[in-house]
Amino acid sequence: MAIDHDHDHDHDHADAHEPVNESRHIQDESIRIERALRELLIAKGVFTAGELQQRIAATESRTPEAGARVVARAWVDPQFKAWLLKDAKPAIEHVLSIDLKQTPELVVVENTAARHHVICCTLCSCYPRAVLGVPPAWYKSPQYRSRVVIEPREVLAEFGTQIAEGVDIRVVDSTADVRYMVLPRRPGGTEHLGEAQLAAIVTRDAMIGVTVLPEVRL
Amino acid sequence: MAAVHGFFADPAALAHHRHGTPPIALYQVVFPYAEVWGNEGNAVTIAADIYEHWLERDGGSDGN
Repeated sequence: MAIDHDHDHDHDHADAHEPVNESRHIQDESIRIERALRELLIAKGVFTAGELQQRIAATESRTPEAGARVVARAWVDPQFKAWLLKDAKPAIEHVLSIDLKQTPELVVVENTAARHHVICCTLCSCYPRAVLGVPPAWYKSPQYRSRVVIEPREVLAEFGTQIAEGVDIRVVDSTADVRYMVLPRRPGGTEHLGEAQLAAIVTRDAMIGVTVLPEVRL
Repeated sequence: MAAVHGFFADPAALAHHRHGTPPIALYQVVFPYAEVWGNEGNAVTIAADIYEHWLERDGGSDGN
């Protein structure tokens, strides 16, 4: 199942792994439907244009830096890590003061030497926006969503991620009500790093589980 | 059954402008690869979150 990669599109395509799958026609139609729906909801008083703008701004202000802070703290603080894995939202809100009131349930799953987790949403595009920001385009693509549950090792390999034989790959399929984030393994060579420096090496893709963090060399 | 996430409004009902009450339990169910796709998946498990009314009781005495 090769990823369709035509270049008849004009959006940002910086990520080499980003599959492009929607034809121009479907994108244009989506834009028209979105506009019609938005104008109808505003006309019916479901929300105001101002409320919508506020919500968009709030969503777009979230970045994977929040998730990276969570990961770094979990690496240096075993008590926080235990709380995080058991009950992520209160742990994150209390310890890191990241506001999660408006967001769905959040579950953090830990990658270990024996098990590698990778997150997807086969139904649509559910994603832990509160801690990772806006999802990458490939996460929402039908190719990623369907292939990662069928051939996760192959999909991970396309991200340059080799998972050793014998390591269980667990594909975690989300819903709108519960979002998942991966706690990646702390890479070698980071023993001397402080929490802020650790946060700086944590990437969005590692928190989705499509990559592992490389060893840090001085 | 790996986890019980709690109780949530029925998403199918919400999609049709209904309230989705009473709330429905949401479970995390872990499947061995072969159980989903019928062939061996090279040490892969799939953990899917599934609402209670989307699950059917196993015919056996002890469900999964």
